[in-house]
Amino acid sequence: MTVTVQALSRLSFFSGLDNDVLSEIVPHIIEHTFSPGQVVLLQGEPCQAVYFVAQGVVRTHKLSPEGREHILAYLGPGEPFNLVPALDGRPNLAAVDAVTEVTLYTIPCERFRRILRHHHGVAMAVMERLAAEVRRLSDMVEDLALHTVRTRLARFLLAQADGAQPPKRWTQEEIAAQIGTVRDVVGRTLRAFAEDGLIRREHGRLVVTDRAGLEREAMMQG
Amino acid sequence: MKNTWPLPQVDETRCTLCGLCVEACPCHAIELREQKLVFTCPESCPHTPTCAGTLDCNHLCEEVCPTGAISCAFEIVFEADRERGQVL
Repeated sequence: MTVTVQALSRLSFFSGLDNDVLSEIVPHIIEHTFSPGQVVLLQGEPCQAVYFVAQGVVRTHKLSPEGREHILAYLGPGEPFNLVPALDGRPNLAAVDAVTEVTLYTIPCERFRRILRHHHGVAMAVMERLAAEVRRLSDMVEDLALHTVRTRLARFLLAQADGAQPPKRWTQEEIAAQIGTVRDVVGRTLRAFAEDGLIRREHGRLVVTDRAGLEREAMMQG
Repeated sequence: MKNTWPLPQVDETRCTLCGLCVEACPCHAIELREQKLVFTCPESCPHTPTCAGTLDCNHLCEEVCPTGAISCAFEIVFEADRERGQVL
């Protein structure tokens, strides 16, 4: 299916660009769709393209040789991924799979680099995106290195309840992969939070019952 | 918001049929049948909205599973927001 200038301009990454620029980009975009759970990219594989989420949600994650997973991010409409390997020509940094039905726009790496060389606006959008990503990953390193699991979990619960990421139903294993620990530890910590009256588990929900208390946990240093 | 919470999910590739969840479930909602874990009476599982909600099972099936084969997915909400949330 052909991607239109209008469809492209609706994505936040492209929304600041002139229609003339978008018209030059559109012919090079290929649309792909993926089903929930389907693999989009494998970590370590040669980079083929830059991706933009048009619809749905994907997750990017790193895998250890033992199969342990650490989720880097959930990405929704308008967000790009695989920018770094597209720029440095090295293998894919992380694996990506579809969380929901997903529509992605892709631009082959070499073509994308050519677009960057010719269009200052696209280059600026990439730099802004990479700057935001460095900031986010820096916060993640701080979280993993300096905070306890209890603090990291408190921060995660608050961020989710605040709607900081695309809403979804979480399993303990997914949370563990997100905050850099294992399922058992998440289970034990959730139980401790419940015993302290900070949260309550009920039908398909985890309810934050004491927001101020959980925020105090989130501010504790490891 | 309409409640459509699924039953606890079982990853059959991880389940060793150890039976710990069957023992732990306070509602007797789980059975081992023909080498398979089955939620025999979903209406008895407090993880679902069909339950009267009087029993707090603490998701024991998930807690006790030694291989992480059972997962009870949940959304995360603030107390005041619980009727407003929307999940994927």
